Amino acid sequence: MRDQKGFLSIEFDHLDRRPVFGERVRANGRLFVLALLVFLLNQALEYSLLRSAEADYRVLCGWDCGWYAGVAERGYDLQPHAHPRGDAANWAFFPAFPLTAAAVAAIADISTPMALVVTAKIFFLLAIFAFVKFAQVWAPAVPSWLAAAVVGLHPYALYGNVGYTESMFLLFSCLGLYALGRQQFVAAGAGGAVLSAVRPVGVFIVIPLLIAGLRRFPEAHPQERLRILLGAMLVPLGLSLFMIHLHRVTGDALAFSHVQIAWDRVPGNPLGHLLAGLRGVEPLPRLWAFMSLVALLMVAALFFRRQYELASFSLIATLVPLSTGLLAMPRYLWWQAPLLLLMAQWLSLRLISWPTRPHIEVKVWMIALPLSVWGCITMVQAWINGEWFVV
Amino acid sequence: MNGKYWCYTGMAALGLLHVFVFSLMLRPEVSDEYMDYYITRETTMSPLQRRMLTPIEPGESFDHHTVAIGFDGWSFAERDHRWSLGSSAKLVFLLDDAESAADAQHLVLRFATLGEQTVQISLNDEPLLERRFDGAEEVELRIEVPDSLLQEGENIVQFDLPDARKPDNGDARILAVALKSFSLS
Repeated sequence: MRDQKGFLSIEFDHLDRRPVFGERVRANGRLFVLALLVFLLNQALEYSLLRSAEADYRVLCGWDCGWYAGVAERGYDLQPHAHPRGDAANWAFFPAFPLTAAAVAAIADISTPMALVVTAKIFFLLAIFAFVKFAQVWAPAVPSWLAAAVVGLHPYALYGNVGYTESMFLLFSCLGLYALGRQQFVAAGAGGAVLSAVRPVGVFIVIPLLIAGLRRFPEAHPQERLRILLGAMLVPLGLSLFMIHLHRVTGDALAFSHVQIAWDRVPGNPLGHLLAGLRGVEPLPRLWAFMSLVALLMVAALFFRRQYELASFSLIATLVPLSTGLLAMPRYLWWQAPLLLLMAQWLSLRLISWPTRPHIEVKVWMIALPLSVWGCITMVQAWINGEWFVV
Repeated sequence: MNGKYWCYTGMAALGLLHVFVFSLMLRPEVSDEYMDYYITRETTMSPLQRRMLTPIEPGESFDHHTVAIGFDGWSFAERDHRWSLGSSAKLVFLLDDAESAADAQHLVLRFATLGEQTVQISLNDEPLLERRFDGAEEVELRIEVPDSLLQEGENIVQFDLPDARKPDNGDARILAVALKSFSLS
């Protein structure tokens, strides 16, 4: 409903009555079991595809996973050394994920590539659970099972299993935005602090935090205002520590950005890349450009709904990678919590109903979810086959 | 100590940390090669490529794949050639000693152009040639090098290409010269 200033405020009726501890544990336990079931379904699909291709789990650590393995095993490179120009180094790969994987490798006594895959999978499971909680706050009408299925079974769910940082990114963005939705600014800042050490765009969660803070500021009591400021200042903590380390190793605190030249990812006009992709003749860049356009339209829909916090996060998380080109855009788009949430909302809509038989209806998910699972299978097969476009 | 105290302490500590990181951002402590390649992007020769340059001898010929000479302002090596990027490109090479410099009397360049192109070539900032090519066929230029222009150590052949443009095949690069080989004779 709209408040006196015309803003859309979210009502948390289901949160107003604080459930007792035992009730909360049971409710969260049920959600976790739901997340676990979706996760296991995803794992079963992956396992059957690996078996049918006579491949094992080692194949899941490929492409960028190799770079993360380098960070986990040896830390950050002292000198660039890779690619034909000898200009690539692992500075582009943020530390939170490989450091967690290094801890998993040490605790479980497994190889680093396997630890990266296992760590991504653990984060994947937790991300499904966190997304359901996030959806309960920002879109309570979405059924929890559908929210879980959207994350666990979408075509790019592949990246939750392959030693990439996407699942950790989704987990901490969900936690940050969940806390923000409940106006817990310090908790949101703490989530943001980790997120800023996961991926370059993670630090931009400070924008939704500031927007929520500004909306809350006039009515907030002095202590709460302090918490808003503290939360905002917490967000860049992870990135700051990474930058200090990079400065010690390379002399350049922004080496993570400058080294992008080794991948020919030089920041430019995102709309230029978008238009070039749409006008181009290559089918895959055209598809990625189309997806980016859809994502920007979804951002517009979020703005239209006055969910400025979610809209601003997705706008930046879309435009920043798009400014360096279209390659890998799908995984940058479809692991964004706000876009997945909007997708879940659309999937829960009714497609067809019969006035004479109101108990019979066709919902969007009945058609979209099987297609999504098919896309998920296709992407896993493409990964196993070493197709370049999954990078 | 109450929550307010902790908030102020935390904010002060975080504020100092962020100011410190910002100051690090503004003053990188890196080599000139790193600065030129990664930060200001004044060169397309990476620091490693620069370190891999090896002194060349008159009479040796180098194709567009070589790592012995540096391609600054050139695109990646394709099967048959390497395109210049933009309106200026450089070939960087090392000469071992003054004797090698004195022995070399000609620059020999084999290349094609993207349609009609004006090509200005200079060596160590001294203009050597300006000519218009119609792009119809591959050319081999043999350019006389004035005495004492080549020097021991680093030498630079610069191509100025005022007519560089995007080709009509959807390639977004600004191209002019497709280099095939380079030598001193």
